[in-house]
Amino acid sequence: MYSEVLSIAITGLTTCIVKVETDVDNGIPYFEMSGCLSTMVRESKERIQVSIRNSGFKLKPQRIIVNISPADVRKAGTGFDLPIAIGILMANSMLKKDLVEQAVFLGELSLDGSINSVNGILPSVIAAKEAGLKRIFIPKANEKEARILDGLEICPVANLKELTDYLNGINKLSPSVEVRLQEREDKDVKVDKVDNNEIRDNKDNKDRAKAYDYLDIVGQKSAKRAVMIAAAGMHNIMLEGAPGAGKTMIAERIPGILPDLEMDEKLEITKIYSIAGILKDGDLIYERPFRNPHHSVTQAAMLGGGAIPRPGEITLATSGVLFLDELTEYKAQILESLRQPLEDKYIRLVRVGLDYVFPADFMLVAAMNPCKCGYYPDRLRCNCKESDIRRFRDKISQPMWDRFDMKVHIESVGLEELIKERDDRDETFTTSKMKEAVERARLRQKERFEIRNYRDENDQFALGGRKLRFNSDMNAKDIKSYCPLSDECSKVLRQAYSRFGLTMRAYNKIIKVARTIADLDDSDEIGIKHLLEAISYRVVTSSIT
Amino acid sequence: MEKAIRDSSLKKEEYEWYMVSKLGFRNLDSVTKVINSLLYDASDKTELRYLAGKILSMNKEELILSGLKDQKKYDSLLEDMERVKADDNIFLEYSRLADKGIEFIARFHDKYPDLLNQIYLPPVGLYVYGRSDCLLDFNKSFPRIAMVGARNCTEYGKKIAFDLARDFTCRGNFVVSGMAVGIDKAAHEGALSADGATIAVLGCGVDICYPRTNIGLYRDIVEEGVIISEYEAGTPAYKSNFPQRNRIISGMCEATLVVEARKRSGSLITAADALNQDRLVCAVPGRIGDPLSEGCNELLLSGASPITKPKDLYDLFEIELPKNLSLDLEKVKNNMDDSEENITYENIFLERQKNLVYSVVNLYPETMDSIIEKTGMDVASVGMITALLLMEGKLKETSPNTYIRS
Repeated sequence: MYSEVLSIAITGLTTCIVKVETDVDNGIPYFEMSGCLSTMVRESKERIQVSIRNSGFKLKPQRIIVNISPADVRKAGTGFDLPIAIGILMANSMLKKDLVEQAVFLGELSLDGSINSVNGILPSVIAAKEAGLKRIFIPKANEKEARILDGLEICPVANLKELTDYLNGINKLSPSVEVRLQEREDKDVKVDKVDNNEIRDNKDNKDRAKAYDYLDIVGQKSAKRAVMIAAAGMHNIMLEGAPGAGKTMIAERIPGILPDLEMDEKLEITKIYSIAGILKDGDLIYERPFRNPHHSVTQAAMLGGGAIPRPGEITLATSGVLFLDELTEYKAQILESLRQPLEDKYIRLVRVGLDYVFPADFMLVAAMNPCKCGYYPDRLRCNCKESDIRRFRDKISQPMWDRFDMKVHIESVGLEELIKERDDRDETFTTSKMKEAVERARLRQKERFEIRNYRDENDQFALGGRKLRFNSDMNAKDIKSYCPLSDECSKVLRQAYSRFGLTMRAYNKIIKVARTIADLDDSDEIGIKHLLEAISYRVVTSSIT
Repeated sequence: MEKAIRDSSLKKEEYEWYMVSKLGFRNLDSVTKVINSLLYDASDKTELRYLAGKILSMNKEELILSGLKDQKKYDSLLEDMERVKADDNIFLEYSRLADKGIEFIARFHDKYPDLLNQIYLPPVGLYVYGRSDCLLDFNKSFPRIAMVGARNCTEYGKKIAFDLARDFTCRGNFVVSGMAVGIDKAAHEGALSADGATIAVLGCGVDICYPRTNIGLYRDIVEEGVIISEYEAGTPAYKSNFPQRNRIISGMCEATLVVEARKRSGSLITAADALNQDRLVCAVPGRIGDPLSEGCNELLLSGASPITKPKDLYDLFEIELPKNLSLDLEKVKNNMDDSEENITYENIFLERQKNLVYSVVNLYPETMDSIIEKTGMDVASVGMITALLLMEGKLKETSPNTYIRS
């Protein structure tokens, strides 16, 4: 007998509906699987048979052939256990057909018949919905994640027995207590509609912001303002300063002031995290990611790797911040490999026969010491040779320096200031105030790029195609159309260009940063003061003359 | 070889000096002794030029007569003289110097720094690269000033060295230094900025730029001034050469000025050399407690003359500065400011803020946060004003967001 069951294969970040075909026949006992399967899938053979037996089914000895088509898509992961088991039972005519048609099955089986959670539920649900299927059977543990998206029947099941009983019409599936509670709450919450997807959203998620506040940092006003500007326009920023000056503290607090995520960004990030298997409690991600890989990170972990690549740090940081502390300690090769994703906002990983394109649209925040001892230019403490300082800085190549929009120097805070601040806290820069300003600037940017994004989305011939969200996303052409400069401004910029020997890239970066400063200032035009302030954040690579 | 010399345009007596210099540093002591004894007998100055030939033709008895009592010494000298005279390669080397643009200038030559003749163990000859004719002017000028200091110096030290060197050069004095990074480099650059010549004394061959990072400066000095060295072309920078090099820096000048020095540093060795050579030692005073001022303050404490402005140094030599000189200096400064087109804003408020920021920045690097603290202005305005002042050339950014007056 022959049966067909649908499931979903995930390769890289793309999903594909696959057909699990099962044929059982009398003959010498035999179990074979085909269809470009990874070892992970192949070794599930025995597990599935035991699991079926322990769920109360008696299979007679038989020839079982399973094929998962299309056979040219590589199948990895543990989610195929369930569809294969259902396929075998169907082929043995042990299940009713009605509910199995138009349904997708995902789940990993245990020997005792229970169904364990799998990764990549959210993208699977999205894929099933897009394919117009009616229902999806998923492990109970993944229920919350699956319910992020409504619009198709989510059927969470705890074990194989429960599932087969349901398919045979013996019992009904009951949602978990937690989900029922959630549903009661949801009645009060308005549902956002994006891309016709109904999405559950939870607005109140500010734990990190509460734990880390810029108020905790004494002084450092210039650095605080610089990171605020960087956050508002998602500009890459370099923090340079002496050890113990507070570079890491300042960087850690950036997520608290980052602009809110748009709904499509939230879905995108949650999808990535789901596939990477690091989604917490199966909840939608509300905060921009903040990834800070240690400098011992390998290239595969940074960019994504494996035979079927898993997303690396740069992909996990999409729409958020990639913080590289002690930038000079990273292997040069890893830093250089960041150049392309920084420019293109995606990474293309090529494996034999297939390309995997992962998003890598992140804001780079880096921190480093100015020299080996860390105290340059304070010559009273730093006795590094100029050649050593140069060598230390040369660990970061010039093209890498060019990827930063802003640079700021962080000086250690003196004792007097520490004492003064303890008594009299300066509240110009608190996380909530900074966030408010950033949010205002984000809305201005959204407004600015709205028309163009709409036009591009609806024009298949549109060039670029990438959505503009922040000022840092602008290319040279966009700068021309969105950042007109007054005569006086262009004069100042020309002067800076010759005075500081700027490159064309640096020139454009100054305009982009000036645009963000103007946005923070609620100004439609870039004024002289915005431009000059942007110039003061320009990236100076070699200060040694 | 005699014929070869006649055929070439080279002068025999100068080649003889070259051979004497080839006797090496180990014979320098003996050679100097012999030269000194011959000096007594010399009737006039032109005769001194032919001393080398005399030395090379001396035998054992003559050497003993001229004061070389130690047998070991005259034996080694005689042996080396034979070797040098027999070695044809030396002539080849010498004849090729001109192709490289290098001049060999021996003692008693017009271009040989005359003060060097007075020191203990003066180099027999110097290799000169660049505009060697400025050594003639050098011998006529007074006082000649050696400027030395720390390599890892502060921005303040660099600025002081630059300004002093520029002012000295404006007045027509020569600044001699060692072309190291830090103070040396700033001193050379200051001198060059006044459109004057400057002299760099190296511890390696004159055709080698050490440290390599100073290649730009090296080229400028070759163009505008001279590079000199006691070591033949191609000699790499051996550490052991530097103390010997230092004796030349201090030896060719009347005054040695230490700008910034740590305790027990190379600059203090040069200062000690200057003292041994009976030259004037001056130092730029620094703040108490700064490690980079300890050396200078120590020198001052033991009797060196403090220099806070060019006039202090001229006063030591009892040189009356002409009235118009100060104007000249001012002119140079103004020229520098005007070298770039300045942005002018009618906005008076902006002018006031600019003045305020400029007033709190001094010669020690000032961070943006301390400027904010001192002026009480908000971050955005300080960023904007500093950028403006930078572009006007009134401030200099020593490292990101750290400023000094320029």
